[in-house]
Amino acid sequence: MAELLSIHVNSQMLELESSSLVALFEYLGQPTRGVAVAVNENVVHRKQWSEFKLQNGDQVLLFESIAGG
Amino acid sequence: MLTIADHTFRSRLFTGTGKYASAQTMVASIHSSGSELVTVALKRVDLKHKTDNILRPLLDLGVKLLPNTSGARTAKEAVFAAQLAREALATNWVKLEIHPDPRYLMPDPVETLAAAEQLVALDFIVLPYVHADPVLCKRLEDAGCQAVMPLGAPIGSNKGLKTETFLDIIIEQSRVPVIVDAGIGAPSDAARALEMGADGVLVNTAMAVAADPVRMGRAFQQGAIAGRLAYEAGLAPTAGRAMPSSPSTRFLEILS
Repeated sequence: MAELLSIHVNSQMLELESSSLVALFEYLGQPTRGVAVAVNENVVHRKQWSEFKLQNGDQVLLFESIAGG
Repeated sequence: MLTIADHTFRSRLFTGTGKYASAQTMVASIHSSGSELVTVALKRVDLKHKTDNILRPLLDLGVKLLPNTSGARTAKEAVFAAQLAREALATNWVKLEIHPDPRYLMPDPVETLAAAEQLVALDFIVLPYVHADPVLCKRLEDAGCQAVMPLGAPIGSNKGLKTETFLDIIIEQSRVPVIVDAGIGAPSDAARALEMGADGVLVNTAMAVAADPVRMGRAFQQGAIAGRLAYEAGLAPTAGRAMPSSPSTRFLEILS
């Protein structure tokens, strides 16, 4: 069995089987419209989401669009 | 028509999405206002609690979305927020907003100018929210901002154009569109700003917390139209003394 990855996502610790960012969104049930993601304080461009590989210990921040002035 | 960067707007009324009682009210209010540019914010996803999706109904309205960097306390955070917003919404337009003081939400001029320079270099279309400081507005214009957004009064205060004297100076000196943002509390404030020659206004609280936000949206639409029309029609000058409407007649002297 592949090693689990320990990832922090918005201050929640998660154990993931896959290193794929896209798989993470699916796991969270997170729709991707209006959403942005940063890994270790670097914004990951949308075009790179499908290729991006998470690593053990990564700090992931997920942001969404909300109401504001 | 109002042109900012490569985009032309028929409406000079921009609106925010905050403080509405519901997403439905927000959409209906913005729709009745005729606004074509609408601000949104970004926040960390709460994995335990889903938020109302406001994007789908806004996109259905056909409005342009302008993400803000609200929450940023420094230039570094604002640049980070802008980059996130660019990915989230596929737009390089950003309302640069840095106000760390929670009581008055006064925009930090030093951080804002620093962030503006960095964001322009990163190819953003930057609309900075600032105090009505004519010097700062010129510095932001020189830095490459595509508009300036001086405040009328503190965010959410509905106090109107407290900075009117300085808005006048900014409007006179600016070579980029001037959008008065924050403090506009009534359609008459929006009209006044546009009568003065501002290119646009941004309104959020005054519409969102009105007793009837949908009708208030329409009121603001009409205020903005009236203000701009008056500006284009050429306002009559003010005078220090009375100027009679009809010539003085002498017929009443027969009676004495």
